[in-house]
Amino acid sequence: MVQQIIVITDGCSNVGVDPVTAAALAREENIIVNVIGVVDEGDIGLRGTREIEEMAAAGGGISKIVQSKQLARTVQMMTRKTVVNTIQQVVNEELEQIIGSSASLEDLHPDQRAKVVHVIENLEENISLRVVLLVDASASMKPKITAVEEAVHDLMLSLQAREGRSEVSLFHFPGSKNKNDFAEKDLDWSTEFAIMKRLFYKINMRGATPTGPALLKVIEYMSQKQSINDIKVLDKAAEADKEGAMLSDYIV
Amino acid sequence: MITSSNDIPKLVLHPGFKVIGKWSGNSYTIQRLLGEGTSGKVYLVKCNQKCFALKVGLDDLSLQSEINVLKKVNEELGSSERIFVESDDFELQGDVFPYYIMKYIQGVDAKTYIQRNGYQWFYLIGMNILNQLQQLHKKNWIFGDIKVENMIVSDYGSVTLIDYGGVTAKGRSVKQFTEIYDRGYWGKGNRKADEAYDLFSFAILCLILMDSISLSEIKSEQKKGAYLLKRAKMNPSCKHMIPFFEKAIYGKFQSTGHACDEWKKLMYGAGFEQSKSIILPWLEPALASSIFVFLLTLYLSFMH
Repeated sequence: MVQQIIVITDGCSNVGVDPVTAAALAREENIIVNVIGVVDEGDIGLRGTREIEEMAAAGGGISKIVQSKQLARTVQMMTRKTVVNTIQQVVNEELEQIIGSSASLEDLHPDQRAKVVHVIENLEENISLRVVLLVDASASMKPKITAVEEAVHDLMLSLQAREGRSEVSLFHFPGSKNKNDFAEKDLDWSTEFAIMKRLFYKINMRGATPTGPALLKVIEYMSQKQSINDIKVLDKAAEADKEGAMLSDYIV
Repeated sequence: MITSSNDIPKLVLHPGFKVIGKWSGNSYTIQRLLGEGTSGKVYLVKCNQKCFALKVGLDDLSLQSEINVLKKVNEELGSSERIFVESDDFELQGDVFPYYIMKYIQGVDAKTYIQRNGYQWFYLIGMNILNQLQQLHKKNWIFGDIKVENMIVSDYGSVTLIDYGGVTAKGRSVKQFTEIYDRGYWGKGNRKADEAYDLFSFAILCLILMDSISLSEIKSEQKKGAYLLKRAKMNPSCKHMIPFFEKAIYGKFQSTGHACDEWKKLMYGAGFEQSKSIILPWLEPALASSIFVFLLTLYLSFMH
């Protein structure tokens, strides 16, 4: 399974644990962290740019600073890259085992390469994928929230088309209900956009930007949810078995 | 290691540079850059006095996946229709660059062709594109990234599809698309590769070719199928093709075969409406200048 967090922000964190540390932790949990800085007017500042870059580097992902109209495209691009890179890494390791030292795609004869790429493409389409979008909901993000919603919608549209299981979840930070809540969940693992609550109303006028703590909360959610979901799937399978049994009884 | 596409060194090949295949030993001499897209650069090259097109990709994986598709498509085509020639790698300053060689097709994009030769060619070009798509669809592929830039129109309106980076097996998620041509962007369906996906993009392509919509003017609140149809109805040249656009935009065609039939029916039914009024772009300036000369003569003769 490929797991990814995309952080969407327009500034620097100012509360709690360093987001770079949090991103490094995510990497350890096999979660890739990508970061998008959204700037329409002015710039994100040297400190902000640095933080974004370092966060992505620690989280094994990429960072990009874009305008809000490029957001949907960037989210798509990052997701696709994360999937492809994860698979390519696995395939390269396998190749190394077969051919020996530091083999890469380029070392293969074009005919062999064609076969390997075919396998990579199949995996890319079929591997299960989970994406959490973690959105900065500080006051300055207000004009960009519509673009964020569009980007979420667009991502879901693309993921729905995949053959593999794909799920998206959405958090914003800081939490708007509880003062001590670093991040609040807007959408549980889902493939449907319709369920999402409007983000627009979640904009926080307080000055805090707890990127690090928010990231920690999402990492915890992702690693926890995994096991719970697995149980759910098992339950469902068991239920399906039961139904199947009932159905066959009925037919008999 | 993950790198963003910005980090990939910009490869520039100068005229005269010899690309020598690492595996085949074949050599191609760069003539000039033909085009540059999101997925790579295409150069005009020569090998034994014959012209070819050479594509160098920005990403090894997508280039190879494009090559895989091209090879499969090639197998289905007659020898004169084949566009893929060979693929190989070349080395430059210690780096390895994969590339492939295609047949060089002389021509322009459809928009330029229609601007130069008149709207009446639109119907034939449209039919040619649909036929090309039908061929691909029969083999269970979807073109995916239909757009003005991805096809070449040669003499007498013949069409060649050139960028196979978006070609996707039916039932999978479309590999590469361009927002404005994408039915998901317009809220008219998902991004699963089916025949209707290409037909939707084809309808957008037609509207762009007929100047019914332009890339720059679309705002997010207009992203609706109704807006597209409204624009089509406003254009006298598109008017009688409306039943086609309606079906293509709302995904009502059962297959590309049906779409081809509908296109032909409307095209002949209208008797190429546009061809009655032959467009001569020089006519207006010519008329204006002759009036000017006439007035000038009048003025001068009265002055004397």
